[in-house]
Amino acid sequence: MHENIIEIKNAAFFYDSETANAEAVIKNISLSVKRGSFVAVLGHNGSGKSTLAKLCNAILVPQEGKVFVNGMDTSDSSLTFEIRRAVGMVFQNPDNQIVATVVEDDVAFGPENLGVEPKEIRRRVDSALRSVGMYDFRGFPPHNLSGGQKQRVAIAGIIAMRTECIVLDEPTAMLDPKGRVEVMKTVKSLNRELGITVVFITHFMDEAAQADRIIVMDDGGIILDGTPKEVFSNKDTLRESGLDVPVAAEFADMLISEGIDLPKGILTADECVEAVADAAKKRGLI
Amino acid sequence: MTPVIKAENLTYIYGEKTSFEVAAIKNINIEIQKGDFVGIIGHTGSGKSTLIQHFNGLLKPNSGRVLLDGSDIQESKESVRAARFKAGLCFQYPEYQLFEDTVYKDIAFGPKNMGLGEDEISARVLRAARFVGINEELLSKSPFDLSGGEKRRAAIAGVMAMEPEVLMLDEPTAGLDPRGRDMILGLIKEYHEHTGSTVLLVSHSMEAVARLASKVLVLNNSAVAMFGTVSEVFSRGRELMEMDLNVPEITRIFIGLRDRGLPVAASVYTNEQGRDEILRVFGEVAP
Repeated sequence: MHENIIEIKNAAFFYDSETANAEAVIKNISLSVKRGSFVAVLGHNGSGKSTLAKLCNAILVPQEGKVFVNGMDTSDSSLTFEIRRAVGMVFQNPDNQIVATVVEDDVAFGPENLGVEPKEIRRRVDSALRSVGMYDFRGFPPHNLSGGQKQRVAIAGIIAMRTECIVLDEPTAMLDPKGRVEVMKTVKSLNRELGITVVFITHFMDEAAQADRIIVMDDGGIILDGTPKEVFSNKDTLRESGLDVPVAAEFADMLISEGIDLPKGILTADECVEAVADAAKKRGLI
Repeated sequence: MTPVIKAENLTYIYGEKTSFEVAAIKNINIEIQKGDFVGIIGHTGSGKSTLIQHFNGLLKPNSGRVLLDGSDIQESKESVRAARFKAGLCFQYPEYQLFEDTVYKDIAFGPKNMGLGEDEISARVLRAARFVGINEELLSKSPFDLSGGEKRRAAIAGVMAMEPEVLMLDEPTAGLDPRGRDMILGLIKEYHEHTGSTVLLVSHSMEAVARLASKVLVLNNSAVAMFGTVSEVFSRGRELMEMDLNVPEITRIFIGLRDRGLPVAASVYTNEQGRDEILRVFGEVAP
C-alpha cells in the first residue's frame, strides 16, 4: 500500500510535441496526493488543470518526468488497465459521459468491462447508487434527470469499479446551485465515509474551501499549495492569477483595514458573522 | 411612459392536453421600463427561460399577452417577426449555435435577416466584434477555431449586432472561469451604459445580479415571487433563502449579524455597503 496514491515527479507535458515551437502546458510539476485526502485544484482556463487531471490516470503520459499511481508508472502501457481501475475520472458535461438508456445499466458499464461476476455487479451497482443518493432513480432513463443527478450517476459508475481515487474535472461548472450542492455533498461523503481519495478541479472558491488541501495552478505550474486558510490568505496572488477570493475573506479584510479588530483567516460567511459579532460584543453593541 | 415590455396575465403550458401537462409560467404580470437592467433569478424549472422567450415572440402564450412598446407581439406575423429583432435573445451556451463558416458570417446572420444593406451589415459586424473584443483578423476564421471564451463572445456579438432595444441573455457566464465571467459581465454592463438599451439577465449568480442589475425579478413555482429594486429584493434575503435561493454572500453575512442582534440594515448587497454599514453601527459608540 502506497501512502501517496498519485505521485507526480518533475512531469512536463506538451500538446503537439512534434512541432518546433511546442509550449509546455505542464511545466516540471512534482506533486503527491495522499491516500484518503481531498485535494481541490484551482486555476483559470488554460492554466493546465485538465491536463494535470488527465496525467493522473494515464489518459495522457508526460513527455518528461514520471507519474505513478499506486507505484505503477503510467508510461508502462501494460499497467494502464490497473491504473484506470485505481483512478477514475468524471468530466464537466453531464450529457457527454452517460452511455446507457437506464441509470443502473450506466453504472454497471464499468464493472461489466472489468469482467466482474453478474451477481457482484448487481451488488456493486446497488451500493454505488445508494452512496450517491440515486438508488430510487435506478430504473430511470438518464435524460429525465437533472444535471446534478446525472453527475451523481457518473460518479456512481466510477465507484462501482471499486476505484480508490476519483478525479473530477469541473464537475459542477454546468450545474445550477442546487446541483452543485448535491454533487459537492456526494463527493464529500465518499471521501469521509468510504475513504476515497478526491482530486476536485473547480472554479468555485466556496467548493475549494471545503477541501483539505488546495493547489493553485497558473501557466502550467503550481503557484500555491496548502490548506484553504493558507491558500486564501494569498489574496493578491489569487487575484493576479484571475481567480476569486471568497467574499467573506475580502469583506473581513476591508473591515480590518478600517481598524476593526477581527482575527485573520476568515473564509466563510459563518466565520465572518462570528468574528464581527464578537467585535460588536466587545464594544457593548450586542 | 409606455413600458418597453408589459406582460399581462401571461400563462404558458407545456404539453397541453397530454398527461405531461405542466404550467411553465402562471398568470405573470410585470412591466419593464425602457433602460432598466433586470436580473431574473429563480430555480431551474421556475420559468425564467420560458418567460423571456415570450418577450421576443418565440413562444406564444396559452393565455394573456405581451406588449412590446405598447403593441401585442402576437397580433400578426409581421409583429412577431419585428419582435425577434427588437428583443434579441442570447441563449445559454450560445457557442453551440455558431454554424457559419466564418466568424464574420455568423455575426452577420442576424442583421442579414433584418434585411439591412451590405454596408450597414458590415458596419454593425465590425462594431459588435470590436465591442466584444474579437479582433478583425479572427473574423475570417472558422468559429470552431476560436477559444471557448472567444466563441462565447462571438455568439453574443451576433445578438448585439442586431442592436436590439431589449437585450436578453440566458446565463451568459455559465461554465466560464472567473476571468471569463468578469469579462462577459463587463461587456454587458458597458453595452447597457453605452446604448441605453434595456437588458434582461437570467442568472444563478446573485453576485452578478447584485453588481449589475437595477431591478430583480424573482420567479418561484412559475409565478412572480418578487419584483423590485435590487435593494428591495435583497432586503428580503430571508424569504429568498426560504425559497431555497441563494443571496449574495455579503447579504448572508448581514442576515447572520441581524440574527445576532446587531442593528444593521437588511438591504446590504455589496461589500462597500457592508463596510459603511458596519462603520456606521460601530461608530455610534463613543470611544
